[in-house]
Formats: sequence, C-alpha cells, structure tokens
Amino acid sequence: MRRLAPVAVTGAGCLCSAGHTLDACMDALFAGRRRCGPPTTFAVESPRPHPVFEVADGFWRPERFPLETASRTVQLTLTAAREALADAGVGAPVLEARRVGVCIGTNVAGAVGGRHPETAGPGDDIPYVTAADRFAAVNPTAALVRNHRLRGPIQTVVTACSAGGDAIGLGAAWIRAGLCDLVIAGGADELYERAYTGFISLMNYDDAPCRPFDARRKGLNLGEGAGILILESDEMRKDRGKAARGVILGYGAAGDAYHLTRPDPEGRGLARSVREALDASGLSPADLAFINAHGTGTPDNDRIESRLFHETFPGIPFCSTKGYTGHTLGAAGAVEAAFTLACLERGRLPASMGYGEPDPDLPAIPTDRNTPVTGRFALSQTLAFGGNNAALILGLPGEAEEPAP
Amino acid sequence: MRATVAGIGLVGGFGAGPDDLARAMAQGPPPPSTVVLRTTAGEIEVPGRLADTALLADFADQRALRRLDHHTRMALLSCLLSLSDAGCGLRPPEETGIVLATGYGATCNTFDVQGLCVDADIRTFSPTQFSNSVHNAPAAHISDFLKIRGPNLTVNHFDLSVPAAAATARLWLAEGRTDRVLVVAVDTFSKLAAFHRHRTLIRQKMPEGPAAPAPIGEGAVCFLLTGGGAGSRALVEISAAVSGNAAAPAPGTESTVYILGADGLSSGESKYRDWVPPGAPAVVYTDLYGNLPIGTAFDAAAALVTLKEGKLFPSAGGGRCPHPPVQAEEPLAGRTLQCVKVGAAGGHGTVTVAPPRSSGAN
Repeated sequence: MRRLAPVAVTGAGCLCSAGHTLDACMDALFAGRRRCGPPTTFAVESPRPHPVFEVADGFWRPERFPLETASRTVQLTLTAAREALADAGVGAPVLEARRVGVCIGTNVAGAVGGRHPETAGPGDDIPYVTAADRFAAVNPTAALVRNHRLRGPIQTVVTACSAGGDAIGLGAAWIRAGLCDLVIAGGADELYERAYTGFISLMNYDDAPCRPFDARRKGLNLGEGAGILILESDEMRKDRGKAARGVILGYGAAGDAYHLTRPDPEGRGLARSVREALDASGLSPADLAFINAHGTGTPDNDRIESRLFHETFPGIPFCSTKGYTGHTLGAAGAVEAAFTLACLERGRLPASMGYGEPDPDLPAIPTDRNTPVTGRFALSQTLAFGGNNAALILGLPGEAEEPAP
Repeated sequence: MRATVAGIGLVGGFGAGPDDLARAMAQGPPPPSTVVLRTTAGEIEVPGRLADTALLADFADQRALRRLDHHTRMALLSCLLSLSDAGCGLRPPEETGIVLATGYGATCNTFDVQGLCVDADIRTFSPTQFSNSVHNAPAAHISDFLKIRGPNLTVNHFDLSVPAAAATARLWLAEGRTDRVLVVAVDTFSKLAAFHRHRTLIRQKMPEGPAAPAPIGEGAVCFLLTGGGAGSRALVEISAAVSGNAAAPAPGTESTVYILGADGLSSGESKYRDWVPPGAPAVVYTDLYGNLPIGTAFDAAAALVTLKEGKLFPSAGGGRCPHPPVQAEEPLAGRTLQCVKVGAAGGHGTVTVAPPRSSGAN
C-alpha cells in the first residue's frame, strides 16, 4: 500500500447513549458515566432482559429539518450530520453549490426495525409499500441527499460492525480522487429487536453491562447512534478560509477469510488492515498517541486486539469506549472515529468503562483511568461480522491544513 | 483510473455463463418459472426468472457448501465462473479484493420478513439464519472459500448498488490497494416485489405478456477487475459513476449505445426519455434476467457479450425503451455501451463498457 495524501476533516458530529452531541459524549466519557438498561424501544419477553445503550429521548427535533421521517436511523443520521456541518461552517448555499458526496455505513438501515412507519407485524394485512419506497424511507444516505439536495457521489456501506470506518475511508478516497469537494461520511444504526435477539442466540451477549478486556467479560451489549465526519478537499477548504479540525491519514481494510461470526484467532486480517493504514499514512506504530480499540467485550475479539497491541504497539495506550456506548454496529467505526479526534484534541484518553480485572490471557491491558496522551496521531479500528477489519489513522492538523492567509 | 474486466461469471433466469446470456440475447429468454406465493388472501402464482446453482457441484462438494444459502450460492458461483473465465483457477492471490453489491440484502428478509411472511417470528430465527441475514455474509463466505484476505466491502444502495460497487473497485485499483477485485452483484427473488408486480397488473388490468413489466428475477454476476497492466487479460474496460441527484448522468458520445435498466415497474422510468439523446441507439434487456435491483450488473454483462460478439442484439424489454429501440441485430462497429439506471429512490448510476485500449496506456 503506497502513501496517500491526507484528507482534511473540517467537522464532526456524534450522538449515542453517552450524549446528543460530541462534546456531551466526551463529557460523559471523562466523567465515567454510562447509561444502559433494558430495551424500551421494543418489547422483550425475557424475565432478565440483557442491557442495551439507547439514545436518550429528545434528540430528534423535526422542526430543524426539511425532510419528514419516522425512521429512527434517519433521525440519528440527520442529527449527527447537522452538528457536523455546523461544526464545519457549511450551510445550505455551499451544499447546493458544490459537489457533495454522501457515504454512510449502516447495518440494515433500520429496514427491519420494529418501528418502521409502514411495518406490518405478524397477522396484519399485507403491506403495500414497495421495496424502493421502504429503502427511500429508511436509508440514511438517501435521506441526507434529499434533506440537503446534494449532487455528488453516494454509497451505503453495509459491512456490519466496520461499516462506519469503511465509509469514512471510502469518503476520503473520493476526495483524493477529485470526485467531489466535500463528503458527509460516517455511520448510523438504531437498536432493533432482530439484532438483539440474534446476538443473544449466538451466545456472545453479556447479560450485564459489558466489560471490554476484563477477565470477567462475557460478550457485547448493543447500542445505537450516529457519527459523522465532514471530509473536505484542500481546494474548497482554502477557498472558504477554513482550517481543518483533523485529518484522515490512512485507511486499511482486509478480510479474515476465517468464519462468518468469529474473528481469525491469529488476527491476520486485523494486522493487515492496520499495516495498510500505517503504510498509507507514512507513520510507524511508535508515532501513535493512542489506539481506540474495537473492544466489544467478547472473549475472542478482545484477546485478538490485545495481542496485536502487545506485539505491534508496545507501550501505546488504548481504550475501548464501548463500555459507554454499547456496540453501535454500523455506527461504531464512525462514532469512535469522532471520539478519537476529540481525544487527540483534548490530549487525554478516557478510562475503559467496564474494565477492572486484568485477564492473564491478555498481554496488553487498556486504560483504567483517564490518561494523558501526547502526540498528533491515533488509530481507530473495528472488526466486523464476516471477518471484515477496518483501520483508520486520524490526526490533528499540521501546517498544511491551515488556510491560506 | 483504468479498470479492465479479466473474467466474467453470471447465473440467472437465462442460465449460467456469458454463452447462455448471449443465446438469450439472440433468441429470447426461456419461459419464466412459476412461483407460488402464500399470502393472507390465499395462494397466487407469479412468474419468476430463477437461478439454478447446480453448477457449483463442478467446483465444490456438498460438504463445503452445506451452510451456504441460495443467496450466497449464487454469488459464489458467479465468482468461481469469473475466475475460471479469467484462467485464474480457484486460488486467486490472497490480496484479491471483493466488493459485493446487493439491493435486497443477504436473505431477502430485509424486505420480506415483515411483509408477506405473516407467520414469521424473528424470535425463532436460528443463529445460522441470523448470521446469514447480515448483509456482508456472502462476501464473507466467498473470501473464506477462496482464502482471499484483501479489502472486502459490501454495498447496498438498492438499485444503484452496482455502479457504486464498480466505482469503488476502480478506486481501490487506482490507489494500489489491490491488483484485482472481484466485483460481485447478487439479489434473490423477492416475494414482496413479485406480489407488488402482481397487484400492479391487476390494478392496471394488464395481462401477463410482452407489454407487462419484466418478471421478478434473481441471480448473480461477477466481474474480475484488474488495473489493465501489460500482459494482463482485458476483455473490456469499465468505468462507473453514481449520484444521488436527479440531474441527468453525463451523456455519452455520438458512438454510445445506451442499455437502459427499465423494468416497467420502478418509479422514475420516464427519465430515460429525457436522458437518452433523440435518435441514439438504445436497448432494454431486463426481460432476459428479470426485475431485480442489481439489474445493472446483467446489463453490463450484456454489454460485454455485445462487445465480444461485435454485434448489437435487439432490445428485449417490450415497449420500455423511450425511443424506438434497436429491433434487429446490427454490427457494433466500435461503439461503446453505457448502462444507465434510474434510481427508484432517487439518483442515477451508469456503468460504461468499452473495448480495451492497447496495453501500456493508463
């Protein structure tokens, strides 16, 4: 993988159970607060429901958006994008005048969510909504295009848990290739019963709040949310005199070719994706200030990541933020990219919520308290169902990302 | 960003492989299958262009395939046929990438399970069923079967998934992320779409026949893309673009033939009339493979067949061409082909197929 030009990040937006904005999320992370409990957005028959991380009510403000929608995934997406665009100082005139692409990662975009507006339950009359209509109603990419009247390239990435990271990596490639001036890139997913039931049936869902990297960990908890980064060409950014907030320096993607639901125990796909991201960024492991791990709390995932960190990144601090957010599936890579950028800006890493007891099988352990970090660069990685691995190298801007005088 | 097709594999209602597609283009497709739908109002029979994956037995024993559902089997078969067509064998280089495009998703459950399957209870789904319902399951199975560990992406932007996937594959090649990419497109027969087509015919008092919308189809297409370096096999060159905007796609040239993804059912098809220059040659081939979101992949395959045969086959889409369609075989005479798809949920996509340039020129 050859070295690639960095791509500027001029805005970031995020919401999840930790908060309705990126700053609110970061406040919760550094305060050690987490909010999880039994599902309330769908009915659960079990007497001991497993915990989930739901976005608190009140985030959706329909009066702020031209597009009407009852899809929770779309609402999450539009809300995070609104924050990110405002952060980037990009309004409607710019969006409508420039080539603006949209690349969003999601699981199934809420298409099987029980709260889809036209969903018919068992025993109901046959619904008369076409597949195209349903797609248009719930697809977050299509919603952003319609809401902002955009005219650049579009893509919806559905690589499960790495979709958000993959979408950001792909969006950066569009900027480098000159396909558009700006990309709204990220990921979004709502909680839905099918995923909740499915992960429990696979027996990798913890019935207690998740404990990434902890010796007592039993699995993941699901969450929901959206993370959006605004990626912008240098030409457009300098045109409007906007400094970058951050940069995407590298992206790597690789498959495990091992199993549909279990990661390669040797972590070869993960190692390859990380190496590719580093090669593209021109950085070495020692250049990193920290790593935002995937850290789901499943025995296999955490073991594989810990071994990689020990072998390739000795001494580099890492944390899992899923103890604060749950596993937000298609949103995870993007939510955590936003967190990574915010942690670089603050020069500190939160404690890995849920971690307390070291596992003797894990050679590297995460932060157990808020930890100062120094440096301009960090890695954020995600491992997905199906053996997908995505690695992003993010950085704080250097001189090249300052606007022209 | 040069990308060439080194091999192609496909399976659909017309058969399997480019020769079966060429035969259907020349002689018309075989009669559609009959599918029985169970609805709350009773059983109905609808036509369908269904794919048969029996050829997989030539590549793998049943044990290796036992956990693969029909959706993944179609995708895998198309990959294996494309690798065979390219002379690669069944062990492509480990760095090979995969971009998989789908419109309905992994098991078609995304749109069906809360539709016609009135007694479906998601709480009784097995772990295997759940795992196979994740959209990137087929790409995962393919990478595991072939032991390829390059970049792996699954794209679902409904009926614009194919141009999106092709555009991504070209980017990967241009960035040097990989030297070859399997671009796979797959969709399974949708009972919900078949039901809607059935209701549309009733509502419009239209009988089955040449004037009716294309029957619902299923199938898979795989293109093995490379960067077209010297010495590599190049069947055709391919480029793609996709946009969420309703404005017309970039027009072709005077030597462009348009292959339109008009199925007679999707919304927005009147745009084809505005987008195809008056007098420009246009064809519709949806009746050969059926109505399915990844139809553009079959159109691109038809374009490849056209280039290989050196002749343009007559349109097979009933009256769905906005201008008088090509109605008889004619020499292609060096023209390029642009496959155009109006996105039913907005936007458009194009895949352009052209003869390969001489080697060395990138």
